[in-house]
Amino acid sequence: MKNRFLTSLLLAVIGLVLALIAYTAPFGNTGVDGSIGALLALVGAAVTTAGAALLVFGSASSHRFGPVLIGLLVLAAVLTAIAGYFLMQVALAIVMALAALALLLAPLLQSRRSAA
Amino acid sequence: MIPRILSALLVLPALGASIAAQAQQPQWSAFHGDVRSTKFSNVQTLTPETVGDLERAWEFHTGDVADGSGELPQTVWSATPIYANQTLYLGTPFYRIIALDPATGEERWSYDSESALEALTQPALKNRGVSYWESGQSGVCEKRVYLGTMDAELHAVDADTGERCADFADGGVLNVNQWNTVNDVFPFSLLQPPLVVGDTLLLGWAGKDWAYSVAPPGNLLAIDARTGELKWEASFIPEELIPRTGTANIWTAMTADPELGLVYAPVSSPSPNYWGGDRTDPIPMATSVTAIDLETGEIAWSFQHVNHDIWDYDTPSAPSLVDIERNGETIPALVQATKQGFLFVLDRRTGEPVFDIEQRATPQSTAQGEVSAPTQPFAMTPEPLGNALELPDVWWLSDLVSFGQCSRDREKYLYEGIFTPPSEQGTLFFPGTAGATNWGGVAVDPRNARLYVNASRIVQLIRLIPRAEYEEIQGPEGGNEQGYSPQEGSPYGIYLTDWSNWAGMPCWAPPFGTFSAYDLNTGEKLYETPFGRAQLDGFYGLESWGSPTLGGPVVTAGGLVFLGASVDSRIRALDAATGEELWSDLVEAPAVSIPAVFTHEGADYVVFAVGGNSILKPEVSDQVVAYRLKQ
Repeated sequence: MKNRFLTSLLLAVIGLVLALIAYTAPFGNTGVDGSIGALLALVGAAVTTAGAALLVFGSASSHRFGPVLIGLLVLAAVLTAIAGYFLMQVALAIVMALAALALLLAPLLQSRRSAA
Repeated sequence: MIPRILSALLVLPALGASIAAQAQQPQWSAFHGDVRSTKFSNVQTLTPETVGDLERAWEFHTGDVADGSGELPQTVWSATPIYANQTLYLGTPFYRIIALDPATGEERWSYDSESALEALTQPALKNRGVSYWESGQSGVCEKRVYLGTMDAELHAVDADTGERCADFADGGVLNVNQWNTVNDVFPFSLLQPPLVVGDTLLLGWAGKDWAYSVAPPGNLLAIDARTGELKWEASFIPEELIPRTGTANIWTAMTADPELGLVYAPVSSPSPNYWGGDRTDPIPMATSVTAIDLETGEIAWSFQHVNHDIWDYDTPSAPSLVDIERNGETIPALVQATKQGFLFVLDRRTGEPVFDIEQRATPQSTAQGEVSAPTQPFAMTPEPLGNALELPDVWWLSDLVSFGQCSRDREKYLYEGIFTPPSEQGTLFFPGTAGATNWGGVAVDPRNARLYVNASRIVQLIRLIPRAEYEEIQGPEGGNEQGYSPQEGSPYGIYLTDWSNWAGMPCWAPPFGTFSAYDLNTGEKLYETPFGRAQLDGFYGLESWGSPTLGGPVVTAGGLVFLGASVDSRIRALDAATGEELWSDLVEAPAVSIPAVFTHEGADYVVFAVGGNSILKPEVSDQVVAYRLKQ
């Protein structure tokens, strides 16, 4: 388990929940429920969550592709944040932007620890 | 006994005062609020300072909605709720009347016309509400609500109970199609409620003028509100042209000036919409605003604002009456907003323009048999809406996404200025057929002659398709929702669509919709600002892009404008002085209607019917939402 990716995973899960709410509107009209845009955001958040989970819980072999995976996940999170912005789902946009930031910072955290 | 009499004597003045106070409360008893179509509400408590305290008072679902996926056609609901008789009345696209308690939204009664739910003349089941009449006497059916249906019936019911009025026509139902005797290729669809002036119902109808060359000639029917008898009929197509053309009908709301004894009819274009080779003789009352004597039905004057209309630039809304001050003189005027973006300000006594109107040379058609009008009237004061005279630039974003498709289209298709005729080559058509303005029209504040209006900026592509080619594509009578219409009987079918790239993005630069204010005393534009947000597949556009709109504004005495109309399914309150958005609420679909704004039991209400319209986006609804200040 790689704890340094836990923050990313937590944020991605929150993003996934928010995207699910935006798409399915369980608490009332979101203005984007059922739309292709909200579905894309949901997929983006799900991909980010799955990837972050792999980074946290995955085996050592999966980490051989760590930098590539992180790069792809950052891209997914950023695109989901942009989608959230244009869907006027402000919380989703912020959370996914933070998830992208956390993914970017996690390797730095490791480097600093190694240096210490 | 004596104490009873005494108490009655004490109560009576109070009761009288209460009734008088109720009578003075702002009502909303007609489609545009009143017969003058000002869309001004004299409510006092709704102001820029208080609007933040606006909250939903209640919400109601009529149940009368269809998205077109099942057996029923899609619904398009643009009804203005009517507030009269201390009750809120709604017409629905399933052709029912529903009476609600204005304070709670609880249903008092409903009436079902049992109309066949078939889209006989329109691509959808449509309704724009009901009308209200009262005789001033008490008794059954001395207060009535009228509802029209797609299949040409006008129903009259008692406003207190919803029971049919037996003395109206045939047991409360008038078959309006009995007067559809010439070129009757479609029924008279009664989608717009009649205008009620005194004891007369003024009734127009809608049809299918894009489908046929020869169609029913347009007319205005004046009907006795009590009996349903025809009082008079005014026609708008010269008799000698009736075998070759049709329509020039009135499908939208009308306006009246009871003091002058005139009704103002917004007359639409002749048929077929986009080719006029069989109707090159003048039809002076087509695409006009025409004043008609309320008593006799005689034409008092007519102002044609598109000569030989081949753009479907129907007069889309009721003109609004307003008295304006010019050179120390008060002029009783009317303002006619148009699809082509001009605001024509006319003296409503004579039809003479208040501001100069120029006849300018316009591009000529190359279509077979077509003879375009050499000139068109241009009203440059007030300034045209949404910069309607200039085709918007190609939008760089859409062009980038489509690898230059939009730029290539711009080179490929014809555009020589506003009024460029439809062509076989394909013509860029701006403002498009939905118009800069549509049935929502304008609102005017009679206290200062200020005008408020939302406008769309939509560029369309129209192509005339030679008959043989059209029949290969669509069959002889084929037409569809994707923009094909046969114009049966003419040498051309048409293809009409929004000008967009492969991804469905508009090829023209935003804003896609604006909101403007004008001072009608001077003709000066006070401001114009993007309004609403566009939305595609859930993604919203930027605020500066604005949104196309369908539906109209209401201005209040407190200095607010209430307007739905935008693609993003929001209802907004704007500061009338600046156009700044002060408040908004998300609803279930675009509110393509005009709200009712009135005072009931001392509280001010804003009520919207939220119906949606597939022109804006696919979502439809049956929601009614009422707002009032927090109590």
